[in-house]
Amino acid sequence: MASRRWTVIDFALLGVSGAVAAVIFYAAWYVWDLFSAVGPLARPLSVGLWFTGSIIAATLIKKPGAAFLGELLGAVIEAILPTRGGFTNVIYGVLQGIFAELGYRLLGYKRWDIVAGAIAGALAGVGELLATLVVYREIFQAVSDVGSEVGLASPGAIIVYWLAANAVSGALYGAIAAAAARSARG
Amino acid sequence: MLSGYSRRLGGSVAPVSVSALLLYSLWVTVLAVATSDPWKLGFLALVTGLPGLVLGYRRYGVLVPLLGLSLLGTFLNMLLLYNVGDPVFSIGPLVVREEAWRRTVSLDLRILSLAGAGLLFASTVNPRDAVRSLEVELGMPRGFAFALAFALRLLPLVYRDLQEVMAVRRMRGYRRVPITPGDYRSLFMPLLSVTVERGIWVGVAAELRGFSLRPRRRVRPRFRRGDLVLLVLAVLQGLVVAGLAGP
Repeated sequence: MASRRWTVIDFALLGVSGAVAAVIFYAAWYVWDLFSAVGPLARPLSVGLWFTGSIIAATLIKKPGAAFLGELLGAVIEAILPTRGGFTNVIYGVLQGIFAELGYRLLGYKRWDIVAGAIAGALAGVGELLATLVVYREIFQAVSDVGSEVGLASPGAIIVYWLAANAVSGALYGAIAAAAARSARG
Repeated sequence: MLSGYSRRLGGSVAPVSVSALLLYSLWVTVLAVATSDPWKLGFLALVTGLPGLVLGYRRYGVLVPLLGLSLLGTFLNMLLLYNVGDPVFSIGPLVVREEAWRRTVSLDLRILSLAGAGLLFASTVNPRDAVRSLEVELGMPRGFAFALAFALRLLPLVYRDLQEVMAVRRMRGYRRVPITPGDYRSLFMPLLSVTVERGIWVGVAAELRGFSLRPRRRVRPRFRRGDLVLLVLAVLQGLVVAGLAGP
């Protein structure tokens, strides 16, 4: 098994994944903004793009910690660029990175293929949901003062939809990112 | 905007220290996340969000209209999901009700505060100064700092490569704006191939020449007179959010 110690090449590849992820994250805001006016449909089409930093880094570096650091680095650069998420990008980066890393951890750090990318991407969606539950909690709060009357969906249904959309989108873009990174690394 | 980033690689124009501005922006972000009260969020949006947006607009003009689109999207989503309670106002046949309006106001004011805090930092600080400050003043691990500095140097090159890939995609009849996963696949593959080659050879060259990630001497942050203004504003906003002062 290859050494798990990080070399300068690994950190250079982390920088590569961070730069590419930052460009992807930046483009993702445009996709998000274009679709946000449509409604909840925006989520499955674009949110998985924000999980690709971890997948690219893990697939390129193939070492424990790469998924977390890749996502965090992309998020830090996204905050510096800047995008309108500001420094909340870093909160999202930390949580998404932890859950993507968990995906590779569950596979024993032995698989770095498209399936692993899809699993890590789907799990990163859980991190995104947790961050959104904190940062934009008004979306999920129950309607307390109007009895049982609610809009088109209850908060519980929104959470389930959110999680499902995150998982599908994360798995899809995770698989694409892993495929691209594998073909790039050769 | 990414081309605007390239221009920022010149000298820093911030009249305050980078560390203080970073900590201030992070503090306002924490405050905006911590509260849901529209009045308190309004205060944060007024004190930090608005100046940040004005400064950001001068440098990143496209961000502000996109922000407007996002605020509108929040309103439409809340209208779809939570338009219940007493009527607040109506737009033609559409009656906007209490829950949808309250949630829209809170969310939009938070988005303005968060975006403003980020823009305040990003539009006044040189990214290289930011990395240096994070590493030598705030103690970021040197491996991560190296990757961050390298990524920031790569960014203009990645942006240029991206434009090349987009041009080739257009010539081959692909969609101008990538939307579907397939579109993104056709972008990622060539972009990553070029950038990974570059990264590997930089890493190999660094290893061959015996570069190691040597620890850098920590220095104490040097505060400037302008930092006092930030400190006063930070305390004031903290007091307002804690409910000890203000609206």
